[in-house]
Amino acid sequence: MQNRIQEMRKAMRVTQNELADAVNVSRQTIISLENGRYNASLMLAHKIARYFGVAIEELFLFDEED
Amino acid sequence: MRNLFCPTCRAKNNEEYRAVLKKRQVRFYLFILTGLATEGLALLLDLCAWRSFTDYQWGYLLGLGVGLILGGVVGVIRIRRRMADEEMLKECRLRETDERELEIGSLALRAAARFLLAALYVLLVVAGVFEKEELMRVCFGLIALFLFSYVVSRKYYGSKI
Repeated sequence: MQNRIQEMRKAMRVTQNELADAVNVSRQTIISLENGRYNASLMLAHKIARYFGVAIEELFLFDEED
Repeated sequence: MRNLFCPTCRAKNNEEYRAVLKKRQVRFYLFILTGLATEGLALLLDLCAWRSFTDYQWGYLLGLGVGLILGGVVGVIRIRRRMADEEMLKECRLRETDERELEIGSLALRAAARFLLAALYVLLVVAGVFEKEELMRVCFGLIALFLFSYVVSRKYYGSKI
C-alpha cells in the first residue's frame, strides 16, 4: 500500500517529529510509513488523515492486489 | 527485553503513563519482598540445619533471593528516573505504545518461539541418541507445555476478540 504522507507533510511544512508528536507515535514509525516499510493500522491511518485534514483514501492509496 | 515482560500499555499522554508506571512499581516492590522472603528462608534453613541442606542448595536459594532483590531495586530506580524526566517519560511511553514497536515485538516473539521449539527438538533428539531419559522427558514436557499453552491462549483470545 502506497501513501502520500511525505508529500503532504512537506506541502504543509511539517517535520517528521511534529507529525509523530501529533499522532502519538515515534519518529521512526513516520519514517517507516513514508518509506513504505510499514503499513499503518486503521487507527493510525485515521489519526494521520485527520491531522492533514483529508480522507483516508486520499492519503493511503489502496492497491487492488493488496 | 523491550515490550517482552510489560503488558501492553495504552497510555495516551505522559500523565496516563506515569499512572501506569506507579502501578508497575508495585510489582518491583513485590520482587524485593519475595527476594527478602527467600533470603529469610535460606537463613532459617541454615540456622536450623534442616535435614541435609547442602551448601550448594543454601547458596542457590541465597542467590535467587539476591537476584530478585537486585532486579526489584533496579526496576524501582529505573521507573523513578523515568518519572522524574518528562523527555525520558515520553520516549519510554512511545517505545511501549508505538504500534510499530508492538508489531516488531510480536514478530520477534514469534521468531523466538519458533527458535525455542527447534532448539528443544534438537535437544530431544540428542538426548534420545545418548539415552538421557530425564533430559528427554524435560524436553518433551516443555514442548508439550508450550503447545498446550499456545492452544489455551488462542482459545482465550479467540473468545475475547
